[in-house]
Amino acid sequence: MEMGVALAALGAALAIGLSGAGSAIGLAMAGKASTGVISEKPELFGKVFVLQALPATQGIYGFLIAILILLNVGLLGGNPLPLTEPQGWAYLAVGIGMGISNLASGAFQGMMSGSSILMTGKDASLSTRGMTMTVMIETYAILGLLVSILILTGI
Amino acid sequence: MIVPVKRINLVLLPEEKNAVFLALQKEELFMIKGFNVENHSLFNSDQLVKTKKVIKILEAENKKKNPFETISVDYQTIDNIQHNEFKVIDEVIDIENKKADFKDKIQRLNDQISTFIPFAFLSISQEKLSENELITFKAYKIPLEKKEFISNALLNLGLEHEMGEFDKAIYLVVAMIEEVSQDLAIALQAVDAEEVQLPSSALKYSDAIEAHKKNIEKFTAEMGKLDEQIKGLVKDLPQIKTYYDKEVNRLVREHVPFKQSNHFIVLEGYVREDQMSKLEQVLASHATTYEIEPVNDTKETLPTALKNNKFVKPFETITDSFSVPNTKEIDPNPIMSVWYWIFFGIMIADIGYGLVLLVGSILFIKLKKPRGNFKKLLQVFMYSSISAILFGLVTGSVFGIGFREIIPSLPDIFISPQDDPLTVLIASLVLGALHIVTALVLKAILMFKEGDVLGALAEAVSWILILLAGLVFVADMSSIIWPSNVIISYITLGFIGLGVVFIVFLSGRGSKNAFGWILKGFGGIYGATSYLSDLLSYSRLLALALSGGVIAFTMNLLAGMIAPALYGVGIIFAILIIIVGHVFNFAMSLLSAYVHGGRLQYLEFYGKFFQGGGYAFKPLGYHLDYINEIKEN
Repeated sequence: MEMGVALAALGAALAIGLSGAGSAIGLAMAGKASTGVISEKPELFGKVFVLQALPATQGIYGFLIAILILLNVGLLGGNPLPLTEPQGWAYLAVGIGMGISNLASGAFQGMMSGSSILMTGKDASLSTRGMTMTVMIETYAILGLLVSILILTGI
Repeated sequence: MIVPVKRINLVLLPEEKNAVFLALQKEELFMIKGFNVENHSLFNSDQLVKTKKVIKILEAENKKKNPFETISVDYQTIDNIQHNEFKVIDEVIDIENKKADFKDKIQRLNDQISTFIPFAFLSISQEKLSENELITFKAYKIPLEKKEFISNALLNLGLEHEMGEFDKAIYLVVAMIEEVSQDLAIALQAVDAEEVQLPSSALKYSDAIEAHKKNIEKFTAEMGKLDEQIKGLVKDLPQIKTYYDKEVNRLVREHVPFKQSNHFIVLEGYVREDQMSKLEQVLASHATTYEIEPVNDTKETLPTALKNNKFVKPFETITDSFSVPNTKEIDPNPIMSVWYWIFFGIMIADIGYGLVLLVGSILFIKLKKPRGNFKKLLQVFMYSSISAILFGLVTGSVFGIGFREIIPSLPDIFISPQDDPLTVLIASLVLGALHIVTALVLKAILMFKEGDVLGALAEAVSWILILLAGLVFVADMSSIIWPSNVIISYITLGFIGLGVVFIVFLSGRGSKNAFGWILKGFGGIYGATSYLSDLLSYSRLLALALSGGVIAFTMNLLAGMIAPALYGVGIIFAILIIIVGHVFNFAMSLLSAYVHGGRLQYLEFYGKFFQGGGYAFKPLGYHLDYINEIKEN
């Protein structure tokens, strides 16, 4: 296997690995708050669930970039393209940028989501506002996703 | 649009109160001042609490629940409480009390059994032992490993005793005899014996346990019968639910606050100006004597009444969950709804998902008959699904499969976020700029209305010029749509310059000295950074469309890869991947489109002009918890 392909695979692995970790941390944090609220007010499950699901997107974005890298490199079909080493480094760069932005955004969005869930527990009518505040953190995951895609189209 | 609301007092005859309240509740014309039915203490009434409890009990027993069961009643039914209606409720409560009684009894018997069991070996009843006045008997608990030691000791002392084993311990009942009590005490101390009380019982313990067990069996059977009875009452659930809502609405009418004089009652409240004549009609047909007194010189904040068409109406819930508009501003809903609709469509942009959402939301509304805000949300999804289908036509994608993959002969006219991310990104940003411009136009109108012309020029018109001229300038420079033209670029630069001039010279209009004036002028220019970040925020349109599209594509790809494997068995897994994958992707796309669509309105759009802080005009109406709809009779 070419060095370039190996670097690209590492890029894909970092994209999904770090983003997945971010979402997992975030979901667990939000989930902890959910269980607390639901044990007191089970009727709020719908609203709380939507808030808890918010940090799930980072993992999906990471998955998306990983798949795009694998597709671009031909790893998904089993016939990797003959990549040059610099090309491989570029794919790795995509993975790193994607991974870090989504790791942090996922974990911190989970924190914010948790406190929005607690707020919803106190006053259910505030859930949409909590959602808006929580989604602000996702902006940086989206920007990470966007730049990753822009680099991918340029390689 | 925001309809003016009038503060009025209704003067009525006390004896006609009920008829008028009923009519008002049905017509939903009159908002009563300071009367908020949600969270009102009327829900704590004994009857309602009891009924709710019964509904909960019966719901738990309702195993063969029809998920599409809805309750529709007519106005006659809801206003009429029959006396036999709460019979069933009392019956359920009665059965429930009996059940609790039996449960209690069983619990007590079980408790007793557990105290008897260690002494089940005793061949004589505790009562008989205690009746013996000559000899006292004492009971001890001794660790199991000391069994031999204590048996020998008792044998040596020649004391009458009985012993049994239970749960890793020896239980001993021994006759106390004066002469050897010292020795016994020493022996007992040596084996760490712990004195215990014999539980009182007239029967021998083993017999008592038998009898108790029989009773428990009997009581359990009784409880089973009661459970059957409750199951038999499940069929009355719709009737009980209807009764609950009837009672709520009766209580609502009863709790309406009013002032009373000798001959009249006075209701304070609000009415929409355009419904004034209708209110008068309703009063005329239900009351012989009435008066509507306008209250003009009031300093209170009036409620905000919105009047919009069928399309805009459901979108009001999106604004309301941010903040209800105040009475002095422009209703943002008509314009916001269109933008929300467009953005929602772009973020899903798939014919397949759009159709699923359209059919799903229509079916849900028809079959489940939801009420209130949830219904409005579903209507938002219903309308927005059409936009998703339309943008799906633009991107040419059905469940993540491109049109040209299905029919290769189609011309390449589709713009998909996967193949042309840059085009879609630019389109997103341009739409974003136009979205912000609409917000600024609304802001300008508002400021002009308030007479703050300079402010409107500095804060709204300036940025409208910069954004619009900037768009044309960039389009001109890129010469994609038309060939680059020097005149156009100078004109647009001129407009941008004019905008900058407005900002620099007018931002500091309120300042007292030159220093503050200059500082504010350049502070205004610094606002460009926030406009830049606002614009970039619209890149999420591309990102979300792309993520939905690529994940759908990935699921199809995975399914396609696995289908030929394992001599055809792979097809089962492929179908599973397709179903699970698309359901997941659909749900996440829907959540993202809903949440991010809302965010773009709240932050980027409403941030520019919307003040909010009003409270909604909520006329006296029916409060429904279980009934899905009230039909005209």
